[in-house]
Amino acid sequence: MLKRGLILLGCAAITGGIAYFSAYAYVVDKTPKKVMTRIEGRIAKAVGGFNVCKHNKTYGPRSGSVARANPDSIVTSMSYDVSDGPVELRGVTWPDYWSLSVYQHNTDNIFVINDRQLPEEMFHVIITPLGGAPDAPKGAVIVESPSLTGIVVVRRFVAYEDDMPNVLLNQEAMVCGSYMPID
Amino acid sequence: MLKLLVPIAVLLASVLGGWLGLQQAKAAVRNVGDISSSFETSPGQWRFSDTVGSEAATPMERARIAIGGPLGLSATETIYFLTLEDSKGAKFSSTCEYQVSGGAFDARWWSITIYDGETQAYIANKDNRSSWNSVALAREAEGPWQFTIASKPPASGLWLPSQVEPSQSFELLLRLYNPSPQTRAKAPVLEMPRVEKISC
Repeated sequence: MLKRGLILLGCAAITGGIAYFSAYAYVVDKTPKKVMTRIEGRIAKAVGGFNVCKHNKTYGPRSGSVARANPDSIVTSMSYDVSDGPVELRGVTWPDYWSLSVYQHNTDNIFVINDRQLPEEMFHVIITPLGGAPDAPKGAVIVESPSLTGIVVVRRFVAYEDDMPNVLLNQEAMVCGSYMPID
Repeated sequence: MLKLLVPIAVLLASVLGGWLGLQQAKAAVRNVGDISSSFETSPGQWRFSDTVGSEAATPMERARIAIGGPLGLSATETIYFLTLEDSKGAKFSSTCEYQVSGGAFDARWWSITIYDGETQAYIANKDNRSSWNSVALAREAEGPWQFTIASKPPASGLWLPSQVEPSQSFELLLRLYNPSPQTRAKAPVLEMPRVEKISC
């Protein structure tokens, strides 16, 4: 009787332990994706959909930013979705500091490039699904995203508020959207 | 009898174990103040991280950073230091005034930003200021720099506003963008800013 009771207890303990660790791992794994889904949705909602750039036009700290946002950076962000094909961002860099970073859906920063790493002031980045890279046009950088959705962040450091008109021009000159190869 | 008890016990254990796992994981992940536990201890009160945005981050580090500071740059581009305490190890409080002082970093751009300790959001203030950066500090002073953290503007000198309400916690985040190879090699053993309590 005692032996049977111990077996019962052992089975319950093992099952409970497996359930505990599985549930723990599930929450830890899902949390970054849940956060990204929320941010991707917020950016897309603000500009009418995925693969459209959202430009911050305000100098200094802004309420409603993500946790620990950088107030010195004037940001352009885009939620991308490459399920229908590659997506591109083109434009001109910014002199004080400029970088373009790509975050896959689990929050990993899979790609970053800054203005000093580019041969010229123009940039052209094409994001594709894994294994779906098109023939890159001259000067373009291809980023293969392990996830179909994610976020692109362009950072410009702006030292003076007087620089904002030029920042707005820089933003207007950007092209964001589905990649259309030129024949 | 035992044949009936085994599946019931296993079912109950699964439900209880799963529920406990969910609650424990949520508590661990949602304790956003614990993002600092994903930062390594470095000399002084500053904590250092090179796992922000990194594909090498552990699942727990990734989850905590996702909640506490999503969309950070990987260490190839930026180095982050965080502190919740003054130079003597006491937690920051909006009741107190602090003097922050230091020198320039060998990086392309650097900044020190203040955030609310509970929400990790900007602290609203009439000057709309949440940070001092390398360009602004160099404009104000050649060589060593200093500024005051307080709920009210100091009689003189530069000011970084903390909360008007007393006894609120806050934190400071130091970002080094494009640090030189020498700075990157030495990190986290760098000449860090001192944050000294002046009064309470």
